[in-house]
Amino acid sequence: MRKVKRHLLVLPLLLLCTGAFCQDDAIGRFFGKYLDDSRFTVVSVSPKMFRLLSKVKWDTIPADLQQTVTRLQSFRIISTETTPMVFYKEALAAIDRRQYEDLIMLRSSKDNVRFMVRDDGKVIRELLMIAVDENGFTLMSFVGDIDLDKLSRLSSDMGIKGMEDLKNAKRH
Amino acid sequence: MEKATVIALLEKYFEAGTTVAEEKVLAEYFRGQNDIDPDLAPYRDLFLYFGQEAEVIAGPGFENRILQHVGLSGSPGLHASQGLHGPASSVRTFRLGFIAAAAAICAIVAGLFLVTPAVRQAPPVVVATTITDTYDNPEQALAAVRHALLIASTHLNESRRSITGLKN
Repeated sequence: MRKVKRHLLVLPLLLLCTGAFCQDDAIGRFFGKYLDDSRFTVVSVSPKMFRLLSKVKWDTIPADLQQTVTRLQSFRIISTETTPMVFYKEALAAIDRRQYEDLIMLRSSKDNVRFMVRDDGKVIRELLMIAVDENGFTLMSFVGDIDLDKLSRLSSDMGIKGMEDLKNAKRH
Repeated sequence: MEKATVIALLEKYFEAGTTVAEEKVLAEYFRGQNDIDPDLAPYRDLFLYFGQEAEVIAGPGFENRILQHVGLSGSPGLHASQGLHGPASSVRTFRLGFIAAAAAICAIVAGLFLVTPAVRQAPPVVVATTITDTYDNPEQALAAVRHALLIASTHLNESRRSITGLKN
């Protein structure tokens, strides 16, 4: 009987493992091959690091930001200054539209920004931002439980430092 | 017994059509006679062998050895009480294991059918990656996430404003 019980315990673990692979973000799924490419800058925050964020002092952090961050599971950004339009087109072609829906597209004379979402019917599980201008291409992914209203409120109160800090982030 | 009768019985025997009584007749014929027709002689050894093997009786301790072989204690008093229960229990364990395996297969098959077509048609993951942290320090990680959220938020608001502007 013990052996049988052990087998019964192994089964859910196996199913959880297969589920874990499904948690990969769009960057991992469609742009994984560029993660080690020297032309790209990558910034990643893993689910483990998101759990460690609880140790940070949150006193000075606005409530909306706090709530948004605590609901996130992982974050990743990949950007390049090399042939931005080529990679932008490649991203649009690679992203599976059965999983990712277009949310908003902003096209101006200078740049092109697209937001796409992957949801489970009720909750947005991933927000993907694809941005391109003549200087660079950026693909940004937030995975977790995403509240778009809270997210759009974030910028109204604070100043934006821009992409520069992220672009200067160390490579891995 | 006439040769033709013996041949007829042998044919019937090898087609598994003989009765117990007929087989006994054949056995007695081959074991009892020394002057067997040369055509039938090859069958004599066969029937002699059957006769010898039928007389073999299990030696003392045979049952215990078998019980030890299948993992049950062969002590004399055991097979009276646990001996019968033991094999039944292992069969039961085996059956439960079999049921568990069958249930697992059913669960996986059901899972395959229950997932939505969109998920099922999803292309295979090109590169399965694990997310490697850029920062070792949670404060730096939070700062990066905060900047990224603000950038996304700004673009979202710009888009919404553009849509509102178009509507007006």
